[in-house]
Amino acid sequence: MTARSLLTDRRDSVTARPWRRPGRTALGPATRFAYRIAAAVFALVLWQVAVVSGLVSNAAVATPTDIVQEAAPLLATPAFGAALFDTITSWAEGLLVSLVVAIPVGLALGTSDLAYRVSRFTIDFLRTIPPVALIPVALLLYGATPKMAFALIVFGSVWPVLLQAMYGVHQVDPAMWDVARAYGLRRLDRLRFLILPSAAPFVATGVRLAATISLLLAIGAELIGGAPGIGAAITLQQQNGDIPKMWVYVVVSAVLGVVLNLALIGLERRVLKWHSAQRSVVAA
Amino acid sequence: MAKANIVGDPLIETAAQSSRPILEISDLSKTYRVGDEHNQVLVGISLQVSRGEFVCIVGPSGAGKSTLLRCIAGLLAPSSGTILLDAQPVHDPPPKLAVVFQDYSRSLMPWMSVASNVMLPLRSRGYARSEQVRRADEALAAVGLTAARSRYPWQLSGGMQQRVAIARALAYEPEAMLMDEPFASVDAQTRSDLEDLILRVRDTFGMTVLLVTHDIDESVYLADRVFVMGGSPTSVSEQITVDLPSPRDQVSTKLLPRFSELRAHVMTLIREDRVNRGV
Amino acid sequence: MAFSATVRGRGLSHRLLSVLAEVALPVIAIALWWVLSANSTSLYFPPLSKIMAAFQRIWLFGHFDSDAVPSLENLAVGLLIATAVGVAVGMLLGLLPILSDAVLPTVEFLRAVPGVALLPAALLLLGIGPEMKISLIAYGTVWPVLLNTVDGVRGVDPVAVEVGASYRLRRPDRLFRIILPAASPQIVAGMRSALSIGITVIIFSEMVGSTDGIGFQILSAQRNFAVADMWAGIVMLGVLGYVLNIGFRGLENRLLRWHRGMRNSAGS
Repeated sequence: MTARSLLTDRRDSVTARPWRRPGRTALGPATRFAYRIAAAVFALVLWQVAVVSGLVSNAAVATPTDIVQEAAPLLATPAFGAALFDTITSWAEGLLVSLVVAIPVGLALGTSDLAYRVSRFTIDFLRTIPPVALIPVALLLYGATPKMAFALIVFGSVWPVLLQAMYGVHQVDPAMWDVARAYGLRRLDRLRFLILPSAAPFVATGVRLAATISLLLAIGAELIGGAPGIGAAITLQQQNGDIPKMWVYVVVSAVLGVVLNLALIGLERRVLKWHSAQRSVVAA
Repeated sequence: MAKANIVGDPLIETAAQSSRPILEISDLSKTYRVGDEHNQVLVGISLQVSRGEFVCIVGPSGAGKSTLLRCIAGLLAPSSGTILLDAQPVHDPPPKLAVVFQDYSRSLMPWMSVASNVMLPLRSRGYARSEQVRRADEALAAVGLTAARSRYPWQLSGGMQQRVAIARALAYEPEAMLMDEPFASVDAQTRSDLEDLILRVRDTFGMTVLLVTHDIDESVYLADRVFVMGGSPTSVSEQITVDLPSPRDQVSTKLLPRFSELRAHVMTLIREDRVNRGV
Repeated sequence: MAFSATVRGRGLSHRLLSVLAEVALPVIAIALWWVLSANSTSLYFPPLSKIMAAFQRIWLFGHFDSDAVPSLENLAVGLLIATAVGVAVGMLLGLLPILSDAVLPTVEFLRAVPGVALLPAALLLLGIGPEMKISLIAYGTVWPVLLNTVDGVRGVDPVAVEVGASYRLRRPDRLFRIILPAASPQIVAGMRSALSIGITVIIFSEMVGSTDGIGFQILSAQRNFAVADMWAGIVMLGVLGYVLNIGFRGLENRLLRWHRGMRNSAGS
């Protein structure tokens, strides 16, 4: 097949949209941003109208305007700060421990074919158990304490990291293993130059997945199990019948998820930049 | 094989019809807008194709041949100029035109069997299912793939896949077939077989064929007329009538001195064009 | 004759060893568990024999109808709704890139709301019946399906789309014979996510304000300090989850047989 120049691809590239004739120019970033804001506003208006009109009962759902009104004073209270702190610390501790356990184990399992085959069935089975089902067990063992949340988070978060680490090791080009052996690379060097650069992006994805799961489990442990934190605050406000305050906490939990995810993406980018730089050094 | 079987009316050539070209392109230009840049690919292209003719469009890679083909096929809007197919202006893909794409593996649907792929265009024609099956089987027979009708495209070799694409175009019963570098991705042996296949198909069904290629030998071997593209922006450098005898043969035709002359002529044009463009 | 016997023999024992390797760990683990816990007097970790007895008593088949079946039914209905809505809206958004670009940030935010945080509101709104559970499941599981559908539709090969256009296929044909099948591998991946999320949602929705379901059984056993029963419920859940996953994989294999075939032949 003839090699086509970059110019050719640009000239002849016609990405046919299913219904439109090609040739349209893309929207500028300002317009896109405006559309996005408009979509969000539209959604909020829909929400407001649904509750105000009675379509959705206001004994269960608060309007966006009420939520905003309640949010300002609530966010300043010590109770809120404590709940936020509790949730974040549970999340961070649980996530960290699960990473410390799962990454080395996952890398090791990925490297050894035998170990992988032996453990595959067990891992597959254990990871399908939804961690929420273990809330009663954790409650029995630890009561409605942060420890309960911690145990739950660790159990739930190890699996994605483990699997992603194993998968990442499997992505190493088989030819590279031969190269490593031919040059008699030591174990440690193999880890540094072969395994880590290849597995790093996958492990990063696993970390983000685990982070999401950790947050979900933290809030779940708090809401169902009663550990202190945002989840417990939601239950409390619901029991007090203060629906707007309850929804403030619900929105905060979502915002927390988004913020943590974005932070991790930023972190991932920075760490991986260093790694891909190293990878290109190895390849050269 | 009976001529009148699959293709319909156009074969009954009235005096009026045979005098007017089936395809008329006048002063076609195409400019792409990429951000703020304007990239004019084609300029002032005018050409005419008569009914039943086999026309090759040849030029170096990146000359915009595919762009031209897409405009004719109604998949791309030209910036200026007109395209008339059977005296009708082309805005959308015309029903009398079938396209065979270069990348056969992407143009055949992997979730459908070969027969279903060939039947796909017939759905919009309003035929009953039994009729669709019949026409598809005829088209497959014409390209020699009856045995493969229940298999899947990805189970077939490249050459066979392209034959399926040709069968699909045939089943559509077009008056004209556009082919976008259809044999570029197959090996040389398969390419010869496919070239002869398309010549046979043209002879059997009396179809007009417009084939885009960068392979000079192929263009001279197949065509009644060759349009050589060149310049920047691209236009038609020259139109060459290929006065080689029919039917063509991979060995004897290519041994003729006239073949070498024509070939050399086209190659010279392309070479000159490359020098002029400074590539 | 002797040669072929050796070759065959090697093949068989090789495969046998491979299977043995895979089941070795779980078998050993279970055996160890049984032995180590046999004389357990721990309140929280009763002997495995007791757990198995409780499992047999409760789930085979006494409570299966009254608890496992409602769980599965609600899960199924919720997933069905999520799939229908997710695929339909996802296709629409996938075909209208400007709209999807505008709407996706809002979608991402809605998706970030933890399902469990919406549980109290769902209870207030819909009570403790199946509607609440189904709604919560649908809410939690629609996002992976929707987002994957959008990605799948956007990723449809432009050449395939052009084929549809150049042969003047009618709109429904283009949608359901080209775009949907082309996007289906991605959509199925989204459904796989949805399944695991759905299992989580059904369990926690049964733990707060419910009168039946596997989650309810596990929690109420814990509250009554019927610890063996609690563990039996967890085992049941594990088995059910595993079976569901295998079932889904089977479904996936049938639906996407062409996809696997295509990828396998591409390697050759």
